[in-house]
Amino acid sequence: MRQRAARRFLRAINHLDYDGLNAMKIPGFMLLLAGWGITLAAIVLLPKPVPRCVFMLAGVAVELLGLGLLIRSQYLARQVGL
Amino acid sequence: MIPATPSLSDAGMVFCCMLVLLVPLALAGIALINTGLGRSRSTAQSMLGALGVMAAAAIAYVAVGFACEGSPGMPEHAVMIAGKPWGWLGAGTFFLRHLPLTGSPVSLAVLLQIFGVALAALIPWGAGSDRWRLKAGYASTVLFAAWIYPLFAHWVWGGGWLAQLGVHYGLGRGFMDIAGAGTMQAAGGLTALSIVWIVGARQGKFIANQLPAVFPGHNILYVLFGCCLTLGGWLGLNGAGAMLFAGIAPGGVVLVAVNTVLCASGGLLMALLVTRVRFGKPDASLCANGWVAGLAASSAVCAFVPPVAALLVGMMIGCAVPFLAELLELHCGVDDPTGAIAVHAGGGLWGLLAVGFMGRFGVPAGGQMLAQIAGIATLLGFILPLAYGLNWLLNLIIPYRTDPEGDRAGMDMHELGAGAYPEFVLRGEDFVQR
Repeated sequence: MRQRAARRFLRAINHLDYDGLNAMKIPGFMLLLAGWGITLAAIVLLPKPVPRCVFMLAGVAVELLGLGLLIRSQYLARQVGL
Repeated sequence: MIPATPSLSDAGMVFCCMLVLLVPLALAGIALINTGLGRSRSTAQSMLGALGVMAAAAIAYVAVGFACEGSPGMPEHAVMIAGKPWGWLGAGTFFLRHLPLTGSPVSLAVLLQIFGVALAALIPWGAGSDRWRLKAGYASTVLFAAWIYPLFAHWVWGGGWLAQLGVHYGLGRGFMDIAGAGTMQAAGGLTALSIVWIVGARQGKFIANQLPAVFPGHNILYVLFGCCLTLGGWLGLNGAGAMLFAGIAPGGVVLVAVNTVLCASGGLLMALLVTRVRFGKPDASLCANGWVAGLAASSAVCAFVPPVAALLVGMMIGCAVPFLAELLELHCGVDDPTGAIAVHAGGGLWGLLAVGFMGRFGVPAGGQMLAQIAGIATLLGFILPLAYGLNWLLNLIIPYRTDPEGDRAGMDMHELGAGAYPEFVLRGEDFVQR
C-alpha cells in the first residue's frame, strides 16, 4: 500500500515536472508580451521623462525575465530529451 | 525617423542605385559563411537552400510584403491611441501595382529591401542548417518576407508608430534604424532563435551529462571569403539605407563607409584577441563572427557617430560575440551552427542601443535613447513571439525537422540525392548513429 502510494506520488511528481517544463514556455512568451505592453504604456501614459524611463526599463526587464524563462525551458527540455 | 521620403537629384539617384546593386554581395557572403560553417554532408542543400530562400523572399516581398510595409505618405492602417495615430500596417497594393519603378526614392527603397529581406531570411536558414527541410525553409521564408519583416519595417521605415515616436511623444527623432540593424539583422536573428527552438538540435549535439559535441565548419575558406564579400555588400546596404531612410546627402556616404569598415575591423580584431587569449590561438570561425557582428552593428550607427565611436561599437560586439556564442551553446542549449543568433541578433540589438547613447542627432540624447529602447523592446517583446508563434503553427502543417534518415545520411543525400563533393571519400563517422 505504501509502495503504491509512493509510486503514485513519484508519477505525479514526474507528471508535474513534465507539464511544468512545457508550461514554462507559455508564461515566458506572456512575459515578453507583457514587458512590451509596459513599455508602450509608459510611452503613452507617462509624459514626464523620469517615470517614463523607469517604466520603460522595467518593461525591458520583464521581457528579459520572459526570455530567460524561455531559454531555461528549452534547456531543460533538451536535458531530459523532450 | 524622417516623416517623408527624401528627394534625390539625378546624380544622387544613380549613386544610390549603384550602392543598392552592391547589396547582393552581402547575400553571397552570408550564403558562403553559412555553407562553410556547416558540415560537408549538407553543403549542396545549404547553398541551394540559400538561393531558394533569396528567391522566395524576393517574390513574397514584391507580392505581399511591400503592400504591408508601405512608405511614408502612402496609405496605412492606424489606430488612435490617446488622440494620436499609431500606424501599424501599410495599406498598399499587391505586386507593386501603382508604384512607378523609375528611380524614385520609393522605388529604390523597394529594390534595396528586396535584397534586404533576402539577407534577413538567410539568417534563420543558416541557424537551422543540417536539419531543416528545404520546403519548410522556403515556407518559413515566405512567412517572414510577407508578414514579419514588412510589419516591423512599416513601423520603422513606412511612417509607422516607431518612426513617429519623436513627433508624437518627443522621443528624439523616433526610432532610428537607418540600414536594417533592427529590421533585418535583429529580426532575422530572433527569427533564427525561434527556428532553432522549433527544429531542435542536430543529432548527437547534446548528450546528457556531457559537454556539447563540436561540429566544426567544413570549409573555413568559404567563411573567410564570404566575410570579404559581406563588406562590399554592407557598404552598399549602409550607404543606400542612409540616403533613403535617413535623408543623408551623397557626400555623407563617406562617413558611412568609414564607420562600416571600422565597425567590422574592430569586431574582427577583438574577436581575434579574445580567442587568442582564451584558446591560445585565434579561432577563425569566431573571428568571422566578430567581423559580421561588427557589420550588423554598423547598420545602426554608421551615419550618426564619429569614427572613433564606430570603432568602439565594433570592438565591443567583437569582444562579446565569442562569449555570447558560447553562452548560447553551453548554457542555453541552443544549437546554432553558424552563430547567427549571437552575430545578427546580438550585433543588431547592440548597434540599436549604441546609437541611442553615442549618436549625434541634434536632439536631446535621453529622448533618443528611450526611442531606441522602445524599438528593442518591440523586437524582443513582439517580433520574437510573433516569429515563434507563426513558425510553430507552420511546423504543424509542414514539419520543419528532417526525419532520422536525414539526420543519419546528411541533407545532401537525403534531400538532393547527391553530395556536394562526390569525388571525396566521406568520413565513416558521418554515417554513424550518434
